Amino acid sequence: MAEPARGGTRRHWPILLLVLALSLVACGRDLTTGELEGVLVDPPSPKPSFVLYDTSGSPFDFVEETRGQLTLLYFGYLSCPDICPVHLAQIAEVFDRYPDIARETKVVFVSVDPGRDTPEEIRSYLDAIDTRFIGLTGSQSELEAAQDAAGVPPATFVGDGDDYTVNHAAWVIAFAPDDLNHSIYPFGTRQTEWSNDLQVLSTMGRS
Amino acid sequence: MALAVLALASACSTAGPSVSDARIGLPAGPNAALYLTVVGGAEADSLVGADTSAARSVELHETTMNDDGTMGMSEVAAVEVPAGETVRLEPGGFHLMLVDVEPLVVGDEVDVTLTWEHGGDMTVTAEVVPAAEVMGG
Repeated sequence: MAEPARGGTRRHWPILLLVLALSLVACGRDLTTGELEGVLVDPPSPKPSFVLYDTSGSPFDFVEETRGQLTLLYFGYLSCPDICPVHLAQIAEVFDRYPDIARETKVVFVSVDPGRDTPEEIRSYLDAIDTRFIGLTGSQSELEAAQDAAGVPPATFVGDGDDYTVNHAAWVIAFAPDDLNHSIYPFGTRQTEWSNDLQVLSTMGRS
Repeated sequence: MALAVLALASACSTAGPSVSDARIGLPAGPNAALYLTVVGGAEADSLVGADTSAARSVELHETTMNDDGTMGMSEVAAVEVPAGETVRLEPGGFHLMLVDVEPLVVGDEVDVTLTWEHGGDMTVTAEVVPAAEVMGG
């Protein structure tokens, strides 16, 4: 009795898979909740105004260079083995899954450790994670001004010699194409949350 | 005699902590973080040090959140493993920092000697994995 039923189910699988595949294509990217899962910023805040230097030494005006684009801003340092590389690698992994979102997103990593991190080292650090990521640096006072503008507590340095550690804001600040900060992402954000939120953010401010 | 040695060896292996899932996130900068899972044995023990030929030194670190919301890491003297309990060294908590680690690629295996307060030295092999995998997704 069970034989015909099983056969029938098997015959329907290709059709079901086709319908599923077509519905995914119709949705464009992937299924999302349509809601942001990050920590909401209410009301949304404008982009911070600051000018630092990219890894080729050119001035980088944050507002000008990222206008109208989905932008992720993060303050970290290269000697950090635990938080920074994992947080950034999570984003890079999701970029690999959604190349169209990666193309329209700017990830801006600001090194807050000018005493150790040279522009060349920042470039090679980011290249090991994702060659698309932008690295910025500046003088101590320029970096403090940028952190202040971005509304994060300034990084502080603990310890002596070359082996000091850095306390720094470990959250990613996300700006939608409407140039507003709608949400932030503390350390520990999962790839599934990034997948959802990058898709939701990419549509905000688009008519 | 052989039986006695065998019995002794198996008694030793259950008295102290056992380590699994040792992994190093592929570093982008000068330092790497090693994570692992420890299951406490019949007696409590503490991880008090580590060493590897693949790095200038190895430090026990804990990442903590400060009052202003920033995160930082500090060196700790020991990671305690109570009897029978599972302690995970994982992102955002404890890790072993490999200072000035040699160039690594995904798939490399790195031998690390862990020093326990009571159990002495134990060598584990950690696999280098993509940094996006150390948190499990």
